Amino acid sequence: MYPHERSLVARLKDKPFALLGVNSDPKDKALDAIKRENLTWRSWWDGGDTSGPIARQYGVRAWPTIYVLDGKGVIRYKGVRGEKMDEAVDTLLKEMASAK
Amino acid sequence: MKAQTSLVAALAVAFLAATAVAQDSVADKIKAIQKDYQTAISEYSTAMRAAKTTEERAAVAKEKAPDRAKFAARYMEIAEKDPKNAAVVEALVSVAQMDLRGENGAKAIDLLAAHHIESPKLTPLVSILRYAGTESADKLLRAIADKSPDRDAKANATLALANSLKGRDAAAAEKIFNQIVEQFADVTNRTGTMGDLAKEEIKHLQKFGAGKPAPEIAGTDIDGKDFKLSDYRGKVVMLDFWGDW
Repeated sequence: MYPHERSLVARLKDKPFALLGVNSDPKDKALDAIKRENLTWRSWWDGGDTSGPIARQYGVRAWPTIYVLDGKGVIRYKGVRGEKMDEAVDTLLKEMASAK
Repeated sequence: MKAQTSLVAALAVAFLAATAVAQDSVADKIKAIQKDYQTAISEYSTAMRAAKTTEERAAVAKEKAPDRAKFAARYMEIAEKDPKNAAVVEALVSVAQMDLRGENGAKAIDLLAAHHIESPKLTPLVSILRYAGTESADKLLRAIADKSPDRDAKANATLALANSLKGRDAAAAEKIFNQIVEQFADVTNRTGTMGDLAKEEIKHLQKFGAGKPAPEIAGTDIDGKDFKLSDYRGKVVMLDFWGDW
């Protein structure tokens, strides 16, 4: 996942796009991953395990789970992976650009 | 007359023999590829086990990892010549598994949808097709759900189709989960009855499906700084529930 996410973030650095994480690791493990993998995006820390409040709030039962939201904060895609993940983001960016 | 009958009989025997040979040879060719693939995998894992350092393992991964695209292409070459032959089902399933979202994978899935939806050998494929998210995969699941004579296969394909759609088209997925509640509520799988499973999914979709507002997230980042999801209004946001495991 990391390389794909890194390239997505790099490709869209000038677009109105943000990758936000919700991390379910113990804090030291999360910090280690962020340093080791040079992760530049921000993550909420969800209490150290998979039963954290944010994961519970969103009913997440599998990791990783991806939601893609539009500029209005509406859920538009869930569980997209690989190329489909890029396509989903690009579709929403295009939609937002043409609405202006 | 007698001579004629025996001539016809001889011809029939010759024809049957020729067909048998032809079928055998398709099955044999596929077996040969399967054998090569097994060999490639066992050589790879032997080399992997022998590698001691991270660098060595990386080198093995680069040099010895079985070339799945090549194996997929070999299977396809045989399957495309005789797509209706029951012997090619296993080969097509392998190609779909190796190249789930790729070009050969799509071709294999299309051939299965066209000629083999009744084959019990599709079962292992059905459970992974929900992750493909491709048109071909959805089409095959729909074909099995509509036309399979086996109720369990129908139920599993319907469930996989609903799962495949739920991230992209919540309304369509909800409709199919409702269909599962109506038609397949009693079918059981690893996690319980499909009725309970589908009801759970419907509840979740109604709250978190595509088209619903994302609930506000307010929390702290890894460094202890507060931030909120609504700070990012006006941007496309990819929300990634992740862990380093």
